[in-house]
Amino acid sequence: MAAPAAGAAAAPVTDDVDAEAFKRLYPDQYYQRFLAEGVRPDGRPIGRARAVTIGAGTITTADGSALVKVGRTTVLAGVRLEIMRPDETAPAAGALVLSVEMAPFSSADYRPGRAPDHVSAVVEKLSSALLGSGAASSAGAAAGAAGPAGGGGAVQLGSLCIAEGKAAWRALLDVYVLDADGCVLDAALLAAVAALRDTRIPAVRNTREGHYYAARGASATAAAEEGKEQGSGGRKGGKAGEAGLVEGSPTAVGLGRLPLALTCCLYGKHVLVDPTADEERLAGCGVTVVVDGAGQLQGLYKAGGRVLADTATLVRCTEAARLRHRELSALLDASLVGQ
Amino acid sequence: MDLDKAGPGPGSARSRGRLPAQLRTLVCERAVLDRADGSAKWTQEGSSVLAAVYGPRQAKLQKEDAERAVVEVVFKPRAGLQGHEDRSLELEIRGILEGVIPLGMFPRTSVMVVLQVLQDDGGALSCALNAAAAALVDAGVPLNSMFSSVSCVLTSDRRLVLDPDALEEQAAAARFCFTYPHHFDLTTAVPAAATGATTASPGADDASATAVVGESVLGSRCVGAFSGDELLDAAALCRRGCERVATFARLSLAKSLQAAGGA
Repeated sequence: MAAPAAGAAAAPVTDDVDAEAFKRLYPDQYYQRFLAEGVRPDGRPIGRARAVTIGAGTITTADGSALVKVGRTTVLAGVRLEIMRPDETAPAAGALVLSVEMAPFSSADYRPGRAPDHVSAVVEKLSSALLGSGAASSAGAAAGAAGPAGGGGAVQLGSLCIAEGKAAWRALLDVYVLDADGCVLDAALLAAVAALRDTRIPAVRNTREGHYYAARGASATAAAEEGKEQGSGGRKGGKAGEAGLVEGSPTAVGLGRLPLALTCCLYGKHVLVDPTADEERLAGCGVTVVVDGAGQLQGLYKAGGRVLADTATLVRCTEAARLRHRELSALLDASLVGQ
Repeated sequence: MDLDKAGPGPGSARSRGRLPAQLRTLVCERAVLDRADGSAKWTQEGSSVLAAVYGPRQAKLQKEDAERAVVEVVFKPRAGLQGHEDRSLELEIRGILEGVIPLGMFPRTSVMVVLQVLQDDGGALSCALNAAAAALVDAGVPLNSMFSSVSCVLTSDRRLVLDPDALEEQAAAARFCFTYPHHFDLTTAVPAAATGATTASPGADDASATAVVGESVLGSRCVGAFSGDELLDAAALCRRGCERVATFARLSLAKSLQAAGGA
């Protein structure tokens, strides 16, 4: 087959060596040949991110959902709402419970019985972006409106309140990674944000005993009719909200800002934007930048020590992230229009 | 920002009147554990982390790599089980160590670094990284370069403050932790140093070695709401802090190693 020499030495490669085999045996040389021309194996220039597809509302049984594809990386996020009694420490705030799972077929590194290491990293960064930096360590303490200036996350938990001290929405956000082909965090954050924006909060009804429940499906239309009647006459004859439809309950999850992420990997002198799984594995280090709509940075994580990042590289990565944010938020708006 | 000269201004009341760019008291104890190949306990006043290094030793078959050493990191929080944040920190610390240890020198071995947070009063990640560096030195693991880590926060009135304690971290708008590689320049003599004629070899007198911190970052972790300029300012501030940590680490480890092996 190929030359038996050790991988480090440049073995003489004859024309009949399969490109795939060459890529496996000498990954560094394989990539160097592309990067010397300023492109990557999938044809992208070094500074270009992959095309994104966002499909909002794909799951009809969920209150909000989004399927996001960044190149081949595929992430599905779903939001399910349930009514809960708010915590005493934050009576006017709801809750967001985040869970991230990687499907077994998502990557070749999957081993049964133990979640891959990077799932924790994704969960931690997602909850940091959505719920604020205090959330990862102190669960539930991130109140909706008040809170440390930077500690508040994108999701405004106060917008999930139905009746202060009595009922609030708990949003269960599940993120499933179906194909992990690099930049899982970027896709997961985009999917989570799209699913939250897609979420339609159902109307709330309450009984005389003060028990609140969601009016979904058939009871939703009944609730709508009741609403019209109450508006015209007042059916149950008590104060509005005593029993029947709860007025003024939220209809959408409040998203204070739109956090989106972009990962760039550092390979030698090159900064590869939006790497695939192969490129991530080869480079070993990368910079992930989370930005919001106003150009403010929400997070910057530089992982891997093989390549150092100087100020110029950090600035490049943040600029790339800002450009990507503009691109993605336009796409998000387009995919959610008419919802 | 003239952080060294400015006194504690209005609204800057740090505990015990600490200046904005002042680090807390550093303590480094080496060889704390008997059975580990290397160990160190790094304390920054209220925060304390114990690091133990096992390796390079034979790796388990499932984990071994034929061409390089495998670095494993375990980060144990002060209380409770490991959460997502702790596992995420393990990944980050592992990344940094993989850059600093010459992995190709030890194929099919593993280097395991166990970090136990003993006390957490802010800056635990920096403390852990510094402890890991000291423990690696204690274990005698060859390193491409030494490294040091420092945290800083952006307060709610947009001021940068170095080496925060837990209260400052919680109230902060943004938290930064930067790790920089450093080396020591043994060729320059400190002008007008303690002794007059330093004819002794440069390496013998620790005070004459100046810490040179790299311009580029080994690892960083910045969370919160901050602008690009604030990020670069924080990086520069942490870099200055790393110089002091580097100098302290060298003095402490050199003294400890001399005391242990010299006699």
